[in-house]
Amino acid sequence: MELEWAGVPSIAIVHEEMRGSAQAIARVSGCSDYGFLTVNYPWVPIAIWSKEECLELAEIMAPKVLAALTGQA
Amino acid sequence: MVGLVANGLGDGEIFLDALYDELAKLSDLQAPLKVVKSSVSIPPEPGDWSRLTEEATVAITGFGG
Amino acid sequence: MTAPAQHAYDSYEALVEDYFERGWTDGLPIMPPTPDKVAMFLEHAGLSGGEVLGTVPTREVICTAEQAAANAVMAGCRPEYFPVVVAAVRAHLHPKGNCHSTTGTLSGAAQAVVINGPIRNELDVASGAGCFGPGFRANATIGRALRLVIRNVCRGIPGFLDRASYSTPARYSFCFGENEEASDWAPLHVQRGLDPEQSAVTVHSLMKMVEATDFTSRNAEGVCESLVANIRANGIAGDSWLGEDGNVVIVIGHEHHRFFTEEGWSKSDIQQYLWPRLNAPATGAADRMARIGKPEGILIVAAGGAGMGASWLLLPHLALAITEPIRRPRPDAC
Repeated sequence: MELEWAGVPSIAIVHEEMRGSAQAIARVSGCSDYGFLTVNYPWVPIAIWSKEECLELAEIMAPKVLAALTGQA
Repeated sequence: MVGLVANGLGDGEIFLDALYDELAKLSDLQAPLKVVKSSVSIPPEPGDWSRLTEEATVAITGFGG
Repeated sequence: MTAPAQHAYDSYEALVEDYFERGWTDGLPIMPPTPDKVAMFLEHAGLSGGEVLGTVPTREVICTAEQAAANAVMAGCRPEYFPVVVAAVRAHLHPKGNCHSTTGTLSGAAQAVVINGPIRNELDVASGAGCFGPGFRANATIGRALRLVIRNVCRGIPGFLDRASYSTPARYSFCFGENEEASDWAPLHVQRGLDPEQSAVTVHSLMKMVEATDFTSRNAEGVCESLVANIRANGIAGDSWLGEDGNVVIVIGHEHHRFFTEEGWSKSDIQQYLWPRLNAPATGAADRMARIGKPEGILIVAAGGAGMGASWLLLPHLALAITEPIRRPRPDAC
């Protein structure tokens, strides 16, 4: 959000289980409608992931990140 | 230039590197500007913050922990 | 607090200051135990004031319902919590709950109160995120009420009969519910022979709390192996007085629970997996035997919120975990 305020379009990736916390931060920061991309199980919320898990998730998330940052989401 | 802001938790940095590689396959990107926060619980160092806001055109971050 | 007495105060502040002065609190302010409130609490439990909830023979202590009610009021309980407090006091004062030892020990053992059954939801007992507290009135005040009984009735006063070298903040209050809705696991009280619709408390003497983190396992067996390693790193000595019935409580966290439910592991499956591994001979100072006489002595409780790949080990002091039904006067109420 602070990057957005500084003029840099940004996207934050959040685990579904942490979305409530992320939205709470957004709300107290006055950005209730800040968009997040979410990750869900089988990826666990704490990112102690194997390299294979990282690569697989990156492959899944990349198109979503691109769409969000280019306004095509 | 894509800014990557890693909070230093777990393997988030590996994930962001992999994510950048995947993005590079989908779009014409320059080199990434990667910042790893010096502590998980504080914002990036002032120098890193300046680089992000001055050089990055978009940024990707993670939230959690 | 040895005899009912009426005191008059000019203000709430004066009352609280006097209670501090007399040593009747845990160091935090209390609610005034007025006679009408004490009577209301007793009514909610369907008890007369003279009903004996238990004794501590070594301390010449007889704990009555009126004394428990006064301390429950002081702890900030609502009247409808009192039947839970009564059950917790009865459980703690069970001979094998070993009040004298667990509240006097140098090790500063605490009492963990686990609530099961429909009453959890009626009273808003927290069993999910943050359930170990603070932040939830039922959890905080029910646990505090038991501790105030231990202090004011059972004479567990620091420097007097409580000889803890450090004690623990868990002694202010440690009470949580089992997240029975998280899966089809048999709730703790059902595993211990009670009906699912019968609400109950289990009081466990707690020598040490250990967070068993495991962020990397992705299956039930992996989580079990890390639980074994964490328990064996501490060891459980066992005690001949407790015989084969010793307990350890394992609070299975949300992220670990997922693996068990995905793979169809019951609590019994976990007990059967852990038991021989815990009882295997020690291989060194960091790998010690955890003497639990029977698989059923490993008490599995589901609780906690999402996020951390962690479970909690509630390692025992010299007592059994005692499960006590929560009884209320109306037959349809519990």
